[in-house]
Amino acid sequence: MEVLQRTYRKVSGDLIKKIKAEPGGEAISRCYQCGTCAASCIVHTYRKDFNPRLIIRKAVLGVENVLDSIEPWYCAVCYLCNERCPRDVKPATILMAIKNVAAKEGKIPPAFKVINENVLEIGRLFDIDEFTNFLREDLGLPAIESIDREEINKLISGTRFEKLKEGGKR
Amino acid sequence: MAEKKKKAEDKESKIGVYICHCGINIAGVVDCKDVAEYSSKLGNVVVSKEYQYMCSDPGQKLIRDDIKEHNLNRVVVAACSPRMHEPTFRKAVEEAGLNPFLFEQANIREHDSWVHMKQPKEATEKAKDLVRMAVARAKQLTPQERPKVKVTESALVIGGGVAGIQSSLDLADMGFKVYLVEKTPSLGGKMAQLDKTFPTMDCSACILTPKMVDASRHPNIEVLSYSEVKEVDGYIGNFRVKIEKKARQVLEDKCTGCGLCSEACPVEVPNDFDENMGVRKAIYVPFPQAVPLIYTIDDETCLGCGMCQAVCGPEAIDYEQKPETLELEIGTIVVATGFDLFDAKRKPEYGYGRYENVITGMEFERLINASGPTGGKVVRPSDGKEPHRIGFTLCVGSRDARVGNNYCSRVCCMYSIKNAILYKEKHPDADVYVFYMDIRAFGKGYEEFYRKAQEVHEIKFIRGRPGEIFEDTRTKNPVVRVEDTLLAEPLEVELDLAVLATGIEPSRDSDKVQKLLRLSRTADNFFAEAHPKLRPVDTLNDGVYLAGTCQGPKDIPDTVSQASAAAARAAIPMAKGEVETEPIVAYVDKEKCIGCRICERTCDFNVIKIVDRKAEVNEAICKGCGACAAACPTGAMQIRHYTDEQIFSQIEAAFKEV
Repeated sequence: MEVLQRTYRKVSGDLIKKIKAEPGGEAISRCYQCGTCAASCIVHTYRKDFNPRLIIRKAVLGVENVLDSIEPWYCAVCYLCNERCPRDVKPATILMAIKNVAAKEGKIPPAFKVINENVLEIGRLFDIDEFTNFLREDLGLPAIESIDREEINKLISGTRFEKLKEGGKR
Repeated sequence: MAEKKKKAEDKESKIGVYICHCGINIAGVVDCKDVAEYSSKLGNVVVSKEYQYMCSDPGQKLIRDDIKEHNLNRVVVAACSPRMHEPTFRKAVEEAGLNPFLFEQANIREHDSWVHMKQPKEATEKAKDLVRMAVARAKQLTPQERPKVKVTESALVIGGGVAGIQSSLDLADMGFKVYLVEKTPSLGGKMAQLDKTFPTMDCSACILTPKMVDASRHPNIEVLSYSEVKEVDGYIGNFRVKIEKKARQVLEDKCTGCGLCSEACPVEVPNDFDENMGVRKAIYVPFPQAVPLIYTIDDETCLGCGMCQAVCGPEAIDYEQKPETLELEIGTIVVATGFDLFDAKRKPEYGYGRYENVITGMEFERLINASGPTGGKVVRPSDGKEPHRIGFTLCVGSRDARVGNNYCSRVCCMYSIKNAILYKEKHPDADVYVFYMDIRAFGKGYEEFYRKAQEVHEIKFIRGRPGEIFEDTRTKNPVVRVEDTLLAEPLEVELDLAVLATGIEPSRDSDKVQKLLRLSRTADNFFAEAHPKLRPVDTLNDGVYLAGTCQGPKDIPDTVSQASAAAARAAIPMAKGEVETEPIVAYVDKEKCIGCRICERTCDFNVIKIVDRKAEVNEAICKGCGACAAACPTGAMQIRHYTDEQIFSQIEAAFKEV
């Protein structure tokens, strides 16, 4: 037998405070939910579950912990929403702030964690294998050589990028 | 010698000091009791009190009673900014028999409690400093008389739209002479371009043109069309205004408005009255009901072929006509310079100017108007066909930080709904959409009108601001990309015609008008009223009043109400016949003046002349800005009520602990 469950959800003001404290997240509370960002968004054109307006709405009301969700990470950072937003909320920048808060709490989605590890280990977002170089040779392009890892690690150790190895957790 | 004189003054001064709590505005931060106690120990202070609201009736009574009881001859109130309540306290002091200029106000709210909210201790010390300075200055104050000047019983109204017309009619009906100046060839303004008016669906021209005619026929109104204000000099009651009547090249007293000239004219140019959609001739009236009905030659496009001159029976054409300058004596001025529409090209994502079938709301008004370029038929500019699907996009250039307009234009919701209904009345089968963020139906009958649009006309309201409008290049159909925020679904709405509801911006001539009349602006760039709530039609320039959209976006009913309000305010000085002016003007100590002419060159208002090697000030028109006094190398030039002595005593007190 189906058990009826109440549909009411709780709201919370905690999340928006964290986002506003992050550089780039300050303008979130002046969003008036017009939908210009969603109607301009190239990702939204193909993925309905990525809707910058809706993510901002959920964050403002705290109805859902958007830090646990993968949605903010779908942003292609093309900045068209920043360009068009009539309240100058800069939605792409807000999403960046949300991702930074999530990273600090160790909530980087697995797929993105792999990318971070790649950068740390091979100095690239993804590995160049022999097949790639074979294709390049076919096109008359020079082969891509592997990067000096020591040099990369030296560079990275000067930044805070290493923290992302642990999923960002401090 | 000077020292002795000062001491003598000290002995004479009996000062009352009053510390205002302003509710908790001041008392919430500043320890008012402490400040009052401190003040009581200052030299010459006879009484020192604190009270909740000094500006209230009991507060003022406190001052009046003390003046009588303690024989006070100076009063210091430490409270808010003098901008609002200096007149209040001056009046209270005057009622008790003291000269109103023996009052001094220390600002311990804006300058202290409001800016140091989190530092109560320091704020209290600062309040003491400010009071000590005020007491020091109070000792130096001398009685001043307010000169009375006669008020010329004639008004100038700048702008011949519905606001200017209403103000003029009201002032004229009260019996005052009115000069109504309009820069274009006809009265009417933007309202003349509209088709119907919301929510009553009155025909705009039908309700406006009788008023235009009334204004032009009123014995007390002189309509100066095709004219511009060039110079405004003087002050309330005695403005001297120069107006340029531009050369129409048609003699006003001879032209009968028959229109033969226009028929004969071979030059066709885009008609700006029809938003450049139709054509007019180089000799023209902007629209058939123009007032005055006098033709005007557009100098920029006229070829000078002589065709109009050849057909004009009354010989009204005069190619040699020169602009004429009128000089008027004016008592008060009403500014009704109106608005201009936002340029939709500044939102490139909506494609206006690039896609033929994207038009503005005003273009829609002209298309659907029976006297418009298509005789009242709304057609697609690309193929002349009547559209089946129309979409109205609201807030184009309003509520938009990207274009610098943070305000709501207040009319776009309703004019778009009105246009949508008008189209549905003619084409009940049409699909009509309105893309909105919020519907602001705040006026009388507006919500009912909105409901009618949904219920009776089945206009579909989609809550979402379009991200972009693009064109199907094959059909030239505009396609609106919008998120229906209520569904949280992206929609692509294909239309035959997209209409952009462009917002209201201050008239493009606002900079000129601002300089002419020394007005200030609010953050939205419209002219600033003297007080947003209590003096909504006055300006900070005495004798100058605001009517209509030059002060902020408004619909027609609000514009007309404000125009009547401005007329009523502008009539007061004229009805009284005289006004008191501020005695705070420059004067010269001739013994000290060396005739160096620095003051003469410094004065922005040309009120200083050197006569017999000594400076002379025309006190009647001096603004009391103080530039000359600051520039004077010998201290000969002084400002009444702000003499060097008074200011230096304040500075001395600032750095002196008692």
